[in-house]
Amino acid sequence: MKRFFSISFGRFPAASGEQYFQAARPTLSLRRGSFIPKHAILVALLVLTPFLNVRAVSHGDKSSASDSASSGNFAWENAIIHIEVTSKAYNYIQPWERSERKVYKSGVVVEGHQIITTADGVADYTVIRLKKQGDGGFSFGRVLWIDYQANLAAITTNDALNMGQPDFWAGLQPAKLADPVPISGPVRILCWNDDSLENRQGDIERLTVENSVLSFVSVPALKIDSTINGVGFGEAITAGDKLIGLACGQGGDGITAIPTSFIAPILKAQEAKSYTGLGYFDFTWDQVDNPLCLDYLKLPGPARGVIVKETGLKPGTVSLVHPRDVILQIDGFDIDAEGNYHDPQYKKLCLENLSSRGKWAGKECKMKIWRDGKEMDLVYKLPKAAYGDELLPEQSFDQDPEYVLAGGFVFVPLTEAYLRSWGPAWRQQAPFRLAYYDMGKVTADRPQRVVLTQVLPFPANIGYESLRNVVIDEVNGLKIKQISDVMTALKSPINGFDIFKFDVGESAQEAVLDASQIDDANEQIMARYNIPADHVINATGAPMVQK
Amino acid sequence: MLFLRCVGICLICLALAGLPLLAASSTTVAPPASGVTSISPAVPPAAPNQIVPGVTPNPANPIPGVITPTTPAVVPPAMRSSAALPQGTPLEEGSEAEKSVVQIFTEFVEPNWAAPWIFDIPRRASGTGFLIDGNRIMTNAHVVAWTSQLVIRKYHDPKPYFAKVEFVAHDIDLAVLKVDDPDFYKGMKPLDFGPLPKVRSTVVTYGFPAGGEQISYTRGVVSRIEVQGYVHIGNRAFLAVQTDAAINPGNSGGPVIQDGKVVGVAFEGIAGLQSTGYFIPTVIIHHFLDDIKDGTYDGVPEAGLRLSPLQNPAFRSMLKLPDDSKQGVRVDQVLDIPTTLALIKPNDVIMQVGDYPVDEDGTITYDGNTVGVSAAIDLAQNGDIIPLKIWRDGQMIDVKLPVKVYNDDYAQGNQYDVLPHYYIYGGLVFTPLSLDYLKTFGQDWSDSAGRDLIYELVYRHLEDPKNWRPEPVVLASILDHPVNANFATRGQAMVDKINGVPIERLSDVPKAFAATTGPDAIIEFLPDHHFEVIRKDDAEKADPDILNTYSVPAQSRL
Repeated sequence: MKRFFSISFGRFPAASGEQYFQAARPTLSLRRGSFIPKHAILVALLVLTPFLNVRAVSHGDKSSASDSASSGNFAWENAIIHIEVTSKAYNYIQPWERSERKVYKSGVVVEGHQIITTADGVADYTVIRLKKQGDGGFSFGRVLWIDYQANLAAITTNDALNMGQPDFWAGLQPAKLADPVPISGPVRILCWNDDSLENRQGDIERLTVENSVLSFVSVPALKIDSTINGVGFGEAITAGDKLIGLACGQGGDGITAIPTSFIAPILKAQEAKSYTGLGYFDFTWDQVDNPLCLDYLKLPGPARGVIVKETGLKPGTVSLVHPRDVILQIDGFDIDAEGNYHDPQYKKLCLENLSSRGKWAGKECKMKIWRDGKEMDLVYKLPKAAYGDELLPEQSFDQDPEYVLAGGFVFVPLTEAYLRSWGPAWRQQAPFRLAYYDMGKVTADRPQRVVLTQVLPFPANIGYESLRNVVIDEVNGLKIKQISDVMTALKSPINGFDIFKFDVGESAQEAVLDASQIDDANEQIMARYNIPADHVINATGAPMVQK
Repeated sequence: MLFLRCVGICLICLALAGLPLLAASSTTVAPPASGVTSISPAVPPAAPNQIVPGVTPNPANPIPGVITPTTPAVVPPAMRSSAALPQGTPLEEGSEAEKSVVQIFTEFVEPNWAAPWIFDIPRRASGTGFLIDGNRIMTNAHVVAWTSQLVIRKYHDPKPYFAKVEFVAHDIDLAVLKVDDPDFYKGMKPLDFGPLPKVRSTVVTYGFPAGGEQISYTRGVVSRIEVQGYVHIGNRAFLAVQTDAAINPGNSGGPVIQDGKVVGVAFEGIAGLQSTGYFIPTVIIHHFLDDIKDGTYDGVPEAGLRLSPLQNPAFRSMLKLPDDSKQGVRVDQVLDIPTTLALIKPNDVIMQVGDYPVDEDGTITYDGNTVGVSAAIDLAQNGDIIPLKIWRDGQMIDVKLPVKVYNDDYAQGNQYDVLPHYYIYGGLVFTPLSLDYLKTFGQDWSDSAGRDLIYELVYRHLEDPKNWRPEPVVLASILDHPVNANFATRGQAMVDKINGVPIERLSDVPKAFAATTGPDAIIEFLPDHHFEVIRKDDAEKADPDILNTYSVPAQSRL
């Protein structure tokens, strides 16, 4: 009974639900057709529906006693935490708008009163709530650290908000992380579903290397086959009483999980405060399909290594690796013609794994390369992966969308978040020239592009109302390298005019506004569109004061 | 940019069973994207997130709801008795114009732009033409493009006459034909041309549209006169007259008559809009006929100016225009045409073109009609000098602008009648990048074509003129052979250099391969500088074999 009506995602503690039904007849067995007061059901449905789990509840494949998820003194029920994250949701087309979203995730307790989970969905959080052991109420949580590149986060309790509550950690058991992880064999996938621990079989297909969920960096990934669906939010992948991964996605090729062989060293480094973030190889390379290419590079012998294409992708650095270098060896591991090395634990893996195999940003990789007909040694220092390394930054986490509004002109930095407003197929759907900037490179003089996305009509901007999605080059003679430059430039009109120059080849090259009319326009536009003042610039280039 | 995209359906009738009618485009006539007008070309190179005009029909993709007649080339005599002919009050009392209107049947063959030694299946279509001075039959260029045989059927005459194209103008979609057989011209009088008709006045079309086999007449009014996209070439726009007289597939090339004179050539329509057909006005026709007097068709010249309406008071004030003035369109960008660059700067305000004052929204008054200012520029012939009045630095100055035909953007429009060029080396097929090449990727080519190819074709020239190549070359495909089997890049890739030689046009390719020092030739691709290597001797030995295997008649067409 309690199970049926249990309001497991806890906005209302179960107690109040039971009280409700005590008002009706005590026996609430539906099979006997007893009278259930209509309003009780309505309430249950009303409360339940918004909290229905993201994924379908599968009823097959319950664990048998012999596959018990617990062994010895350790029980997974005491290590899996249900996490509710409420976060700010943004509208990048109308960047002054706010809404919220809720994401339900799963986490695993580890030493030190921490819960590890994936970073996906945690960005811009306002409230985190934690529920343990499938029952009881929620406790408030907070992020200890979060690494979006690695897609990992550590959460702990928010003691200030939990004052007076019983100790959240009582009864919880930290899980052990496997390192190395198995690359084949059965696993169990665990997460809370209402107040029962869902425990489903999975089979490891392989360990591979692919892009991190939230970033361009390459990370190891476990591929798991299972009939469970709707996972990818930090669910525990376990073998016996060891954690071997956190589920980070599910798609046509099965479930993807971050292996604990990757997580454990990061946890350790975080605790030792020696973690510098993920590094990456800031060059692109080709595997050797055409052995004549090696011939051309005067590398004799069997086809091996990879040919470097573009280098210096980390802005502001001088690359030691050159185009047309052949990378023969990294950290003692020979690289084959497909770009793989033989990992002692995981057999054939893509060389990209060597950028995070127990190493972080700033650490060195010893490389043997072939250049100009000779072998050379090279010490490659791993640059730190950052979203700003890309001209079209993939993510814009933990910040409100930036924008400047002046005289009806809306300026935003060009980001992938803005282009994703056109949907997952934004590369085809978004304006071509903007989307094509994902092939562009960051340069010192232009680390970013700033776009005039739209013109909010006002008499002072008549004639420009169809300007849309044009990249701004210069305002009042100041080259625009980043969005704050627009604010700076507007402080200095030229002879009373604000002069906007757009990139060569854009649908318009220039637009001019009367600087003295900006304030009036701004006030009316703010009122009409309910836009907060702090991003609206007045004639002196200072933010307007909300009246 | 005033991107005057016309949803044009070139109105010839495809007369092979099962084939769809030629529906050229599906972009809608839209208000200016950002209020910029250009003095031709007004239509941009096909921006990839708008649908390309001028797409040839895909037999696998028939257009629903359209009649596909199967008109035979010759009408059996039994159907030609006068009793079977439609009677009724002629719409143009006393006119015998119909005797000078003919039906044109074309057998045409288009090349395959991705494998340019291959030709698509021969197809048949029909349109309309009419006799003009000089024993010429006037029709649309799109009726005769790629033709391998033209047959003309006269009014009430069963005999088929063979015709040849004398001159063709693919930019303004006009052509004149000649018939060798002198009997053809008997009993026909050349039609005279009239002026630009007035809006709301009545016009009658004469032609052979779908829905029957005999000459057909429709009547309507002149609805609108404006600069519109000419869909046949795709990246040009000229003056066009809109009418609600029904203009349907098959009408293409036919005369539009008023007071017994030809006031236009029917040529385009818009799918999805009712009663919206277009004809080419006589000012354009005369431009064509004057141009060909010297024995060659040059084309309509290009001033090289991208213009922007100048309606914002702050901008007008900054440019020191008088407060009460409503004139002047702003030069937004100047194309890299040296004569124009030398005389005109961005932010010059064009106040008058020839005799036409220019209003602040980029329009002129042409014979009582408000049309885009490019219509005034288009009056010039190749090599003419256009007098302009320009406002610069607070003063009016006179500029005499020499204008010539501009062909640097030919690859961004649809190409006709010249077979695509290619060069094969070691089975590697090189061909110039063009809109026609990108269209081989399918109807949704803008989704599937490499974005680098689109950038190169459409954006590079305006954005980055220093790095623009006159004829970017693609490795279109590879004819498989052991000599090239290991290539990872197998097609649809932009070529950057061969043996270190930058490839600016197709003819650079054989020269670059010939310059191979050492045993291997290296080909570098954009955008990421991936490279491939082929063994020179093996490639050259393999070529005859490869050409033979794939039935390629010649190694190159340069």
